[in-house]
Amino acid sequence: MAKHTAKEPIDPRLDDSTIDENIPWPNVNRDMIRVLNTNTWMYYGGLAFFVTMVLISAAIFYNMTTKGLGLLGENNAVFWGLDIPAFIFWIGLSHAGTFLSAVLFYARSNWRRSIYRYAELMTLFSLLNVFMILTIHLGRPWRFWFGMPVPFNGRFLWPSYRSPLAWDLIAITTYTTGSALFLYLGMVPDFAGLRDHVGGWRNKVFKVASLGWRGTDKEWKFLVQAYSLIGAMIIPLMASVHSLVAWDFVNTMVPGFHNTMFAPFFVAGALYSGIAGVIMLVIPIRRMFHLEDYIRISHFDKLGRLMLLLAFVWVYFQSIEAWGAWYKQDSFETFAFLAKAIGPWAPWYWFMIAVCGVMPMALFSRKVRTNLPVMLGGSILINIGMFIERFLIIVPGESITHLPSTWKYYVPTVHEVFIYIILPLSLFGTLFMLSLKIVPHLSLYEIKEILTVPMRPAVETPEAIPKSRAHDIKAEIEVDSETELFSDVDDIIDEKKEEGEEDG
Amino acid sequence: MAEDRSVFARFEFVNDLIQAILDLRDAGFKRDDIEVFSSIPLEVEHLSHSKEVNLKEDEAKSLNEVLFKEGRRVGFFTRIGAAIGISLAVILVGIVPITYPLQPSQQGGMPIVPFPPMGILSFETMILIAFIASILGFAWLTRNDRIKTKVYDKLLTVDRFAIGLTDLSPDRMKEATEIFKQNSTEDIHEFLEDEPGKTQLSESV
Amino acid sequence: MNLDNKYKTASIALIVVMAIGVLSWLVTLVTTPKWGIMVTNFIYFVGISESAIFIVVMLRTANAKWAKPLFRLGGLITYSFIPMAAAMFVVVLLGQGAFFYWIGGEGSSNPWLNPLFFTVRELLFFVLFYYFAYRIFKISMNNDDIEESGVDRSLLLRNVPLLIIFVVHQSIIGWDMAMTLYPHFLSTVFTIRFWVTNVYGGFAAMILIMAALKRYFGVKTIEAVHFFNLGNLLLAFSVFWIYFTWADFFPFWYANLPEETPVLYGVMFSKEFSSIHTLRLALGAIPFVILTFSKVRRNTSVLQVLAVVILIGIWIERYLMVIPPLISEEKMSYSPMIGITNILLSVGLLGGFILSLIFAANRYESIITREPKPELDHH
Repeated sequence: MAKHTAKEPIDPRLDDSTIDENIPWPNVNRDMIRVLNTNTWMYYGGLAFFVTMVLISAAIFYNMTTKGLGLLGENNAVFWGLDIPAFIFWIGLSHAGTFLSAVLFYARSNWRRSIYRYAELMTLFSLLNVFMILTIHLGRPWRFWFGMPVPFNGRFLWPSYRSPLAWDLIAITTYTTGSALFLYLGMVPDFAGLRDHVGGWRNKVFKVASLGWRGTDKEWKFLVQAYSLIGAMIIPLMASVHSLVAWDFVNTMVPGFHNTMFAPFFVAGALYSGIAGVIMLVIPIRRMFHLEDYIRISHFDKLGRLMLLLAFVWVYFQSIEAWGAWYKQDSFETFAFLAKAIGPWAPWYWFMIAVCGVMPMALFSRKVRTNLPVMLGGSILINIGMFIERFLIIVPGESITHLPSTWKYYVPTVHEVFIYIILPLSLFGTLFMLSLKIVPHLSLYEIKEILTVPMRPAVETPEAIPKSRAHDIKAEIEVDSETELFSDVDDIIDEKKEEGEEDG
Repeated sequence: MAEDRSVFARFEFVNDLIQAILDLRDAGFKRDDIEVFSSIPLEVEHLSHSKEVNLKEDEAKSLNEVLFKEGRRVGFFTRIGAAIGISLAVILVGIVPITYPLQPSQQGGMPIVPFPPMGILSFETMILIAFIASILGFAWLTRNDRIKTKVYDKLLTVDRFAIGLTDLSPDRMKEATEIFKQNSTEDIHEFLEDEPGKTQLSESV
Repeated sequence: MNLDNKYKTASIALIVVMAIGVLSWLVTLVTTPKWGIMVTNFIYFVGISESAIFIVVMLRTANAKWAKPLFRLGGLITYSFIPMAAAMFVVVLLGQGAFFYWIGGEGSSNPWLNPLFFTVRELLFFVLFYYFAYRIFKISMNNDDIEESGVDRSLLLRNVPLLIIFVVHQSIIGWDMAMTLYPHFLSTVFTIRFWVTNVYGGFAAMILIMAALKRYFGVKTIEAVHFFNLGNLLLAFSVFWIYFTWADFFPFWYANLPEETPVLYGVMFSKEFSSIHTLRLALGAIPFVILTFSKVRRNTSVLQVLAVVILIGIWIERYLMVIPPLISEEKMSYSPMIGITNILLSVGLLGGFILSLIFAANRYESIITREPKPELDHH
């Protein structure tokens, strides 16, 4: 129950400030099994929708591969259209998982325990989307192989390590591997917890995945060590991956790209869209699987505060970008910015400012942060705005370069919209929905750590009894049947005392 | 007398478990022989905050020695992985361009062996190999070939705790069993070590 | 000022040091004005002192309950420096014609580089920052930040404005006092690097000042856990420092543009400054490596030594931001490594910083040594 001052009225929605620590431990296991076995119309409907969209988008992609890249809107000037904004968007979305699981782990924030698993799954599937987009955007997908630093690619081709694109490949591979391992490591005890109490095909999967986990002190010690180490390493990796992606642009001379602040700008924007993405996922999941006991309103309050902070950071970076374009007094840089602000891209730019800069100021209000439909709608808008932001970073600068004769406007085609927006979204949705049937949603042990540990209540007797004496009394109690063990110790001790008094 | 007995005791409450561990230590059982099972990582600092657990300093130290047995750490593997990762980057970015040199004029003025990218890639590959080494180290360190009891209780992943002792003579096993009974153990199983391992099928939740 | 005897000697000594430093600099105004060192010390001391309240407000906004004893101290550090900050600010404003190439002589059509606009924006944000800082300081001295009307209201009315104004104020100082000294040079991450480094120095300064307050003023509310947590934050900000410094170097190295590389290589590879630059990098990298060991962060003495190293490194970084573009203005009898006026002024102003802390701590001794009030639990 949240305490309050005399002047502040109690907001009933804030009564559930954190997880109720009196939830019995078996309930956590039961709820996780229930969730894995729950099949609702919402779930099946969602899965069917995503699978359908994947199939349609795949068909359109196949159409493009047979008819050629001319079906896309890219041209000589704008060689990166929707593909690279999509790539950056999905990398950005992946950062929230690392932030919630690793950064908040080190910050000892207990509220992350209920939601970080979803964020980590979001990270993993976002990164799979990134690989898909990267492969598709090459045009000739087999070139992906030739970018790998292996001596046996059949062409004796080595990537040039002077190219930021080569660094990207290694960085994203590292990040994907690390995120997958981090996710898996945290799930090993949870797989064990579910292995023991589910049957069917899941039992077989969990048996393999749990690595024979038994919950010994040594296993816990090594798990905590490994988790802490990987967490400590994945935090700087998170920053470096998106910084490398930013340096793809910064290390060029395209107007609007050569901005040294892009590295932290991209990282902050990634966290921003990632937190919005987590909110977008967790609200429907909470409703779908009735996880109100574990995902409380206060979680969204805290996520909302994080988003507010990141909105300020985002506005700060946008202001610096605008200031830099103005200060530089360089006709190309300034013109590239003006093309966004008052030129052909202006409606998109001001829409982005409105939804990512102005609208989140409503998050100052606790009423807004704790209103789930508003948070869901706002998060969707923020993510749309952030996609547009990445688009506006890349496309206007490309379309208006140093040579006016090469200027070309860019309009994405339907094929591009399906291949680079709808296909990744629906593939992400499909993978996520499928994973909800296999992966433990909540970390059983992390949740139990903040619940009341099962403790035998302290024995109260008239005289002060040292602990060892209390055990002597317990030893006198003859255990006739198993049920005796579960009787209230106090009653048994009182009984014994009465017998002692009767005997004189 | 042959030391071939094992005993496994299950507890409902964590303070019973703690007292049992302390009693075992007082009775001379070594910390490496006491195996504690739980569904959460037990930390002495966290447990001693509750009013039901009142530990003196030496008791806390003794308990900590059991719950956190010193020895090889995962970090050992991580460091090896990190060193391999850095070497990998130095080879990729340093040695390979020298083997297949393209002159700076063909590469936008960049030197053949550029040090800033080497720094970046060293960082990335260091972390990549360190990740993999940490997981492999974890899997290696948690292998259970030393465990002789091979007994397991499914309630351990729900809300129960347990202690397992191995390499006991019959007298020591009797002593241990007495300690467990004094501390309100729910269930005790005694084994001979050449007995095939079996899993207790407690009621599922 | 009614100072205890034990502080009187120290205060007199510091007044003398400060007087010598300031006078030696004033003398140079007649001969060869050395504005570079004045600007260097201005951005350094103002940045560090302003960061103190930024840090405690940031911790308060993040609901860091462990930091409760620090809330008063952060405000005290910033408040104590207000007179010196104002004096230095006036001096720098008056001398702007001497070090900004775009005033008078060469001129510039850039609207940002306009003397009136420069004065107005600097003054505006200076006043705004210290207004909010003073309000927060007064509240913390009166009732320990107990907010009777709820956490959200104080966030909205005081803490968030201070955080925003600090960032904007430091950004503007960074642009004006350091980046614009180089003609036609723009680095958008420069300003972020500037104020993040200030906050980094602020953590280091807080560690030293807390240790001094604990030792000399008997502030018992500061415990080992505070130093440990500040050490953790110092480690985090050392990583930030490395990151932003790299982000400011790497694009210029890669792009190799002629309007950017002289700024970079003029410091890194010039015969005057290359050794100082190497020293500066070492003074940034070594604390990071040492701080990664948790035993170090638990050792208050080692933390204090590292804090001194970090603060020296940051001063050198400010020196390298300001002096190289101004060197042509101060060529006569100028030596980058040793300049007696540079040293006297810097030490004098450091003495003034410590002096103002002593005065403020002495004045508010009864408040800073008492236990903070228990906070109402809003959650």
